[in-house]
Amino acid sequence: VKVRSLVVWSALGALSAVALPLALASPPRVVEIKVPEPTKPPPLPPPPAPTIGPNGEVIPAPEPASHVAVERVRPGVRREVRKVEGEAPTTLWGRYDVVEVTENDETEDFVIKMEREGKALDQDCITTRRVFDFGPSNGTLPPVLQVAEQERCSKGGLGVYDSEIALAMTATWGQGENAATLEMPAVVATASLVRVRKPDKDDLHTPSHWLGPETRVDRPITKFRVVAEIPKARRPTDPPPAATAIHLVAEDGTVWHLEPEPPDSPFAK
Amino acid sequence: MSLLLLPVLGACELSEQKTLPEKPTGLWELHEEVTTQGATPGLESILQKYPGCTWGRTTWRFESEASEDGKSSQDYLIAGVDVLCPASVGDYYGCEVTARVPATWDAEAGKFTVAYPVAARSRTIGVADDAIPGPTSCEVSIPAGEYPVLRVRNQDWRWEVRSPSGKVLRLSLPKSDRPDFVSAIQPAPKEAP
Repeated sequence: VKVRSLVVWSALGALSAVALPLALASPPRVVEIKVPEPTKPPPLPPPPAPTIGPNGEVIPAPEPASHVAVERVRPGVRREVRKVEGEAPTTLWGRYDVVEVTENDETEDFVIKMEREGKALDQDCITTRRVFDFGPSNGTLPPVLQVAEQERCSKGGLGVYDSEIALAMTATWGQGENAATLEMPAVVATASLVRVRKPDKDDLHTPSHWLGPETRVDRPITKFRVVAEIPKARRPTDPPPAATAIHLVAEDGTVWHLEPEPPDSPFAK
Repeated sequence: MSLLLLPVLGACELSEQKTLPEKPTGLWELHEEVTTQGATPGLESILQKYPGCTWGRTTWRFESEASEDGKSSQDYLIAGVDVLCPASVGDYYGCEVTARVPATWDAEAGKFTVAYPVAARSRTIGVADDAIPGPTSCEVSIPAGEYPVLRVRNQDWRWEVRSPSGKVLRLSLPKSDRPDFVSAIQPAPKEAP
């Protein structure tokens, strides 16, 4: 121990013997960093002067704007509202996804909207698709409509899985002004998934089990105006082609914009 | 004279009330399904629809919700299916689905009327390795039409409901509100000799 402390002290002495004269010989260099002056705001425009009206009366100047209007657009929101254009369909078939939703004069991507809402509520399942299945082509508007809500769920014990709850219900159709009308009845449906591990023969403990989040669809009586974008048939004798877009306009003004379901849907069959 | 008649009128009123059919409420489990072919136990009837599954039950719930002003009420029929099926060795999944439709109770005839049919199907597909292997699926439907109801006494079942398709559904009290998949997976305890 004594030998080790002697070595440490002698090393410190040598270091100070070298460093001290060096520090005295060269004065410390000071580097000055100047913070740039903040840019002055542009001068305010002169207040508008009062004007004289046609009858000689003095019209006071308008109040200056107290705030600056900023156009806020969230990701997935269109700058312009998607138009509802097309015709009243007389026949609909096939599977269509809700791709955009127009609400309060804003058109937003459906997937982004659902993700935002799901995350805001800290849900285990996030809606990924809403699918309207109009069934096979038979030249009319379908008497039965299937609406499916698809989700991506993540839950301990159950892992990550895609979930779908599909509701088949009667559809009541009518014809309105430049649009068909669709009425869907009030329906409530729930679904959930449970995982159970069977214990070994000699294990007398309660089997491990995990309960997944409940999916609930609670839909009141819903009435829509239906407008479809249908390309023209090549020949007048040809049957009308499938719609390229369908717009469902709810009574409260919300519009669901539907487009043909892409082939990558996990539940397309 | 009028005083003498009162008990008689009261008795008439009581007998009229008694003749009204009883209305079911709450949750009930399918005990047996009766067709022209005979009676099939509830468990057997559901396992016929889900081959390979080991346990299941069909439930019917009769609900009544008061309107906001409390002056009227709306009845509902809720049908449910719960099935327990193997996914892989030692790994099982329980699939649950319910569907609810408005119904009208005819107090004189003792029957519910469902104005429109509904069907609900639940499916899942595992995405990550830790998910249940293989797809899961279960579905339930409520056909439109009339559902005459009869209260049954001194039997294992409490109600008989005739579905629009002509089947008679014998309903008994369920063991639990929620499906007991954990008990269903465990072997029945051996009876003592």
